[in-house]
Amino acid sequence: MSTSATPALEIKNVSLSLRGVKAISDLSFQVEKQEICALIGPNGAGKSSLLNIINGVYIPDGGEIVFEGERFQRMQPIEAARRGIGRGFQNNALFSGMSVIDNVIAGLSRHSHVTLVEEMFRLPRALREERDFRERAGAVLHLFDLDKHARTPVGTLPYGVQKKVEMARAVVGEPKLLLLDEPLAGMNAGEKKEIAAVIQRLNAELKLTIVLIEHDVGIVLKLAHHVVVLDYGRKLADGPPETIRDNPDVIAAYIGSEHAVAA
Amino acid sequence: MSMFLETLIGGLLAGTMYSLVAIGFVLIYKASGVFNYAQGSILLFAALTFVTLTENGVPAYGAIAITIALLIATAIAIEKLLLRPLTNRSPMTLFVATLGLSYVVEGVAQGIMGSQVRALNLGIEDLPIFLGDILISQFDLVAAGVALVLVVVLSLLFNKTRIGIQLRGVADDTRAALSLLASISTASGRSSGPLPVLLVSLPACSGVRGRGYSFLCRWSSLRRFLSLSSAASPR
Amino acid sequence: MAEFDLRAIAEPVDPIGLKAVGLVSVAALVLAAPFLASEYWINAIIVPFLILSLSGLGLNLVTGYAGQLSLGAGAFMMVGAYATFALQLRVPELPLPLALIAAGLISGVVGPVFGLPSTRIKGFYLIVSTLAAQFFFEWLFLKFPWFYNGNSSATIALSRGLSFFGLNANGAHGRDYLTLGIVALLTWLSFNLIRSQTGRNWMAIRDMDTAAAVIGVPVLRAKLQAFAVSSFILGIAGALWALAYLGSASVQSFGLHRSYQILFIIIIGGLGTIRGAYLGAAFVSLLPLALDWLFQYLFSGQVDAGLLQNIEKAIFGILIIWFLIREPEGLSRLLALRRTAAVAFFLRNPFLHFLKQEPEP
Repeated sequence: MSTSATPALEIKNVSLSLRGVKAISDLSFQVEKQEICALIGPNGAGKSSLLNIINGVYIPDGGEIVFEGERFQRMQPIEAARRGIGRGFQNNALFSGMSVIDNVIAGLSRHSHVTLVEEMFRLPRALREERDFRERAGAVLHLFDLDKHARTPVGTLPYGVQKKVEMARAVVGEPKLLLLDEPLAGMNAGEKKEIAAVIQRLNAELKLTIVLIEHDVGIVLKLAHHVVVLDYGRKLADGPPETIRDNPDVIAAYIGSEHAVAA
Repeated sequence: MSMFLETLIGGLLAGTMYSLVAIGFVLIYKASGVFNYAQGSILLFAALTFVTLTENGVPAYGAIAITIALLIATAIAIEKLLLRPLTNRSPMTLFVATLGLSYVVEGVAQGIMGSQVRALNLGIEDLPIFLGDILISQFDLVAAGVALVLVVVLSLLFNKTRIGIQLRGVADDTRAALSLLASISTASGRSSGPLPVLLVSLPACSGVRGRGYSFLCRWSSLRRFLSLSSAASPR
Repeated sequence: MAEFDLRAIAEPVDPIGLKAVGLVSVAALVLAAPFLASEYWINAIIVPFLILSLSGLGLNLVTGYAGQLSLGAGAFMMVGAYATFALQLRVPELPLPLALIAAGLISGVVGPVFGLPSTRIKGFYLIVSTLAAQFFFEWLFLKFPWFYNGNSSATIALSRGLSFFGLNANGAHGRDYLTLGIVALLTWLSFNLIRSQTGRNWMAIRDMDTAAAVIGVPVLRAKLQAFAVSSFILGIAGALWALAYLGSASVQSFGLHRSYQILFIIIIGGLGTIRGAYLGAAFVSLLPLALDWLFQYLFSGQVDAGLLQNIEKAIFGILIIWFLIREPEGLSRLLALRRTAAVAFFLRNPFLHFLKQEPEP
């Protein structure tokens, strides 16, 4: 069923109302395997809501999500995680009482197979899994250059570093699809470059399909293979970055406004 | 049949008092997000203060005045020492803090004024009134009447005064209203003192079914209501 | 902010293997305690302290680690106590240790039933559900004489005392070692658990449950597991409280005030720490003694017991509020800061440099 021709993710006629306000109306687009797809659009365009639908936090009013050839009217967050949808949040949603490495290992929960009793008595299987998890988390921390922070309580770290920890936590479970909500927000130019490079590596080396929301149009046009422009919950444009740049609708509605300078 | 009516009426009269307690809880919870576990303790504190004062020869009206003053002081202290430092903490933390508060209030009140059971004479004779062959407690009637007045005062407070409207705003959208409230109180240079005073002391006094106590509490909270609503009305 | 920095430094640096030294000396002290202390101390202080620590540990797993506030600690202790009594009475072949484990398991099944609402609701409504456990079991164990074997005072007590496998644990020393053994074992198991994936799942739910679900933490299962393990431990603690400490118990021994006491123990000791339960329990056990001693000293013995109790109550209340405002991580955090200060002192002092070791990688 799932051949290489199947898109990684298909959004089909999805609509969503939040407290009676239409957040997304009749939205459809496709994300191909191993591509970086950027969602752009002004605040309130429904970008974060869409990510929340994809991994089951919101239930759409209508339409369906097709993930790797399987159709869903709605998905439980845990089900989405089990199927390999990873997620980074707009405002960091880290576990503030835990260390960096524990935050990352928590992202491996769906790969845990030992029972409570094995963990209690530290039976061999539990010990083996713990060691394995620590190694995997360590490797991801290294990828994000976070090794020196491994045992630091995550709440004490600066925002940019926390952002990286959150991405590490989303990536460690080896998702097939990674949803990132403004991964570069609040970072300085150097950090942005670093994270953009990591995103590119994740995409190229781990063959990850990535859907991300980003306001920095300059970076989006360089990073993404595919851009979807949303405005008031509708799709305004959909295509490779080059065509988006020259689309008059987009310029009028989004880039043409105050963001023109940034682009 | 008359037995049934008698029970029904007695129950309804008692019910009005319970409804006051419920209003008190809801008021605090809706306006501040605090599930105030210490209400009962503050009630005990009020009643105990009143009884101790009257037992020591203070006339009833003086005792009521002193009790009200003490309660307001307590409420302000609670706001300053407990609620303010815990702003922006989880509702769970606030709940446990009021649990701790109930220990403090009970410990202090009973430690100073004793924990033995005492009777309170309010000077109201509890002679039954007969409606045909139905017996109604006069005391219950008075208490229910006071409760009714309080509910009316409450609704006036919430609909007509500035503080009431602010409270309703808080109930509707806590976050937005709180930021607004902060700016209001700083802009006008008025501390937000009265608000928590009202929150803490008012429902705390709205009573249990213990007769003397419930009357006292209704009485004192009525007085407090009046003084506060006049203080809080727009200048 | 300064405090946070201190802890960030404190974590990786353990220059003189303080932990190992500390553990060995505590173990030695604990094992020797029955021979150093009078029988009164064992009966009135040490045994209840150990059991309260165990209860605190149990509650801390569900409240401090998994973030589900429970006011039903007393109820689950009650279940454990009455289950042990019933098993010892009706299945006399079952040796005491197995009866205790079985009672723990019964309590561990009951806990998740009352924790079930936590999978749907949060906060106050969960308090109501755990309070319901409290009132339901108080009613149940009083209402049906079967649970207390119809005895006239509605109390439970072991007919054969604390004997098992030919050992007699009825004396002060016997009860002390029995309690100690169980507490040590359960502490070790809890410690293992919170360092494992289950423990991380609990803390993830406590810190941010939506994010936990999204990254793949099985929120529902983890919450129920927390209730199960917590009430398993509380059940065994309850059995010990009734049978090894009180001797005979009734539902009043596990009333709402007990639930509050256990909650206060973990708040004062430190939410979400293992040693917090011990520190909190030590505090709760020793405060009355200290107050009593102080008043004896100040007023040469003329203090009304009721007054003392009220003072104690007020002090507990003030401490709860103080800890919530100032140090939500309780005594265990205060102690950690002290230790950091001590370590810093050692590091500054050149004469003590020989104690310094390289931190583990």
